Amino acid sequence: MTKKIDNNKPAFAGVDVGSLTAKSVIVLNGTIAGYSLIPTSLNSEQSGLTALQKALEVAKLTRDDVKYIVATGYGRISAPYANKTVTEITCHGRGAHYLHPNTRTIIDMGGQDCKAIRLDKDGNVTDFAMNDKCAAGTGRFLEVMANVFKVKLDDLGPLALKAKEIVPMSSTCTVFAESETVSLLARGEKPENIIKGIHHAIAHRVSGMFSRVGIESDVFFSGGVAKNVGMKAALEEVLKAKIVAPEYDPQLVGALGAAVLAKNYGSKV
Amino acid sequence: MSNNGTLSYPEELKQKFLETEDINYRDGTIVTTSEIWKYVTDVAPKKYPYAYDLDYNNRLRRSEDVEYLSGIKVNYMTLSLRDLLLKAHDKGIPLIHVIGGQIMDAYYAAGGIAFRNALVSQMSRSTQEGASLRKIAIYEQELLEKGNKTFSYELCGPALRQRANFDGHIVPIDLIAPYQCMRCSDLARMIESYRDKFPSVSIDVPIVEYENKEWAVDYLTSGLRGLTKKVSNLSGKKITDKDILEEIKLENKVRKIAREIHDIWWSAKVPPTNSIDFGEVAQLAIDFKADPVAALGVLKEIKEEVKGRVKHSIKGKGLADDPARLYIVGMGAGNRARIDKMGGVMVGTDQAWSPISVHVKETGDPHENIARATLTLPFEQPVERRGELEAELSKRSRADGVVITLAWGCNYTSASVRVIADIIKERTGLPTNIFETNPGVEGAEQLENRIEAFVEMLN
Repeated sequence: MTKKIDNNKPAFAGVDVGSLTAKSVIVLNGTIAGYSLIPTSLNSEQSGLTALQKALEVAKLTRDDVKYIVATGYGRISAPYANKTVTEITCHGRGAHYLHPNTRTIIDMGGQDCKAIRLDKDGNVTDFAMNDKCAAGTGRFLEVMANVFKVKLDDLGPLALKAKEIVPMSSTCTVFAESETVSLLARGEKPENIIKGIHHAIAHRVSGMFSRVGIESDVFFSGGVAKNVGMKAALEEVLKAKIVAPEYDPQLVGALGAAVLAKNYGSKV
Repeated sequence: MSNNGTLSYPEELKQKFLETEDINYRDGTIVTTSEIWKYVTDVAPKKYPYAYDLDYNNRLRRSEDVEYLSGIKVNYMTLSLRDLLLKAHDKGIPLIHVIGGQIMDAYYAAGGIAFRNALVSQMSRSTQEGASLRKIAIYEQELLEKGNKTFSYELCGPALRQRANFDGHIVPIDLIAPYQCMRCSDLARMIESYRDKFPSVSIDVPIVEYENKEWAVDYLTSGLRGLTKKVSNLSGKKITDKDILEEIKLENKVRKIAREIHDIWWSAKVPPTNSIDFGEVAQLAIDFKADPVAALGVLKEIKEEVKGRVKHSIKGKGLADDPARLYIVGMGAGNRARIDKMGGVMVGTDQAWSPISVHVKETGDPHENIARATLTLPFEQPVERRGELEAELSKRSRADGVVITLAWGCNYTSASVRVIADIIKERTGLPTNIFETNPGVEGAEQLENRIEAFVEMLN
């Protein structure tokens, strides 16, 4: 049964259409009422709409119950259903601040890009850096690596934690790293040690972005790659900082931030 | 392709436009306002529809601020550039490809026309009459790919496109005259590749703190003498020091009026023009759309129009109410219309400001005067000094934030931008960000996504 909406307490939606997945979060009465996560299809508008619909179903709401929608992610340019579009950098800031108000630094590792984001105490972005032209250090990179080791993406992190040593990885290109990995396996290196080396190579790349924007605690890890425990450990080692693990799905932080912004904007309408 | 309509100039503006000044060119040609109106409303829309496509992904779109009448003349000068250059070339005036950033006095004084990358690209795409935005985007991508295949995938895109333009004889060229050591680390490789195919003259510019470095002045002066001699031989125009000093006086007037327009613009409570139109002020002043006399006339009109807009607090069309003011360091921020749409406005670029910021001494040895001025160009200073100058200019332009962009493959810039960014941050406290890019005609999603986030941050 659909919830009856109190006009004074409408719902707000955030939709994040990324390169690999589309996410949506519904905020109602100041809390998360529903969410969804689906693979992005070729039609990014439809992906966003489907994600939104699924999140509404979880929240037991309809489109009519939603007062304001903010779209984010690369698919936001094709989101006529949204009242406003905002970049994912701003949205990740808002989402992380909502989940963990003491967040001052965000590491966001998504399907195709990495972001180092600094926040003030109110969740406003004060500085950021992103990878520019290389997909190394992103979810896509890890997907390729999981394929090389014939393991599930989810298993890469735990395997890295089993390593006894780090095998240095010299290639920063996804394709070259794949061939380097094949060579290392052929040389008899242990898979878990190579995997740990891969995670450390990524962590070092990410740390380069933090040399530009700096690090301040608390450090929050968002994006799909944040589910990888091996990546979190490698980043803590390289950045020499304790990383807060969100209690909420880190892949939904951008959509959550969009929903929070939708509430802010929508409340003024 | 367009998702935002097509630019058109309303007929009711025509009479007001006709009452403005004609454009007087150096060779004595006068283009009347009536001819300009006909060109921009009838001829150019058919020849160059891509320029009239108001799609926000269109980096080449003209300004939609149709009531900014001097902007119409800038559009005319831009879109008719190929006709002007071909006419000059047919008359035996040498066309000289130069690297951006330098002042052009010596080239024009010796009877040549200097054109840098932006004009080469404009001339090249003008060969594609009737092309839509998509066709132009494909055309420029193909030029880049030709450059990639011929030379390297590691060089910067703009340099590779120019080489493809010359190789394909798409743009006629009589001389390549780069200043070595200025801004472009890929230039040395490109010059080497030009060795047998095109005549060239190369001037080595020492990167030094100028003060008390008389050896640098002597060294550069000597190079400039060789340059004017070479251009003079090509043009057949015998030149004297007096001729060069006269050209210096003319180009000083252009630089001065451009600086004045910038100061008026910067002083305004609301930006009097949008980013496209403001960017064109500096562009017109640094390469004159290939005619310094015509450029000076149009800049005088721009100054009066901008003054009027500031007086009446008229805001440039397409701007948000209180846009985030972006000062751009480096190769530019891509699509200016999108910056405005994002809620920002471009308040200046250092590469355009650099050549208009200098005043060349108008008496004495003109080669030495140009050498001294060249050694003070802000963009070409040692990195720490350049960072200080960038900080000063970002304050002077009342910027809210500084965007530093560099082309993929630009080794010199990639090694220097962090130092510059750190100095700007330290001196001004302004948010500063670095973006690496290789923008095409249509969209530059990564760059624009980052600039949009930066604007959101500032707002």
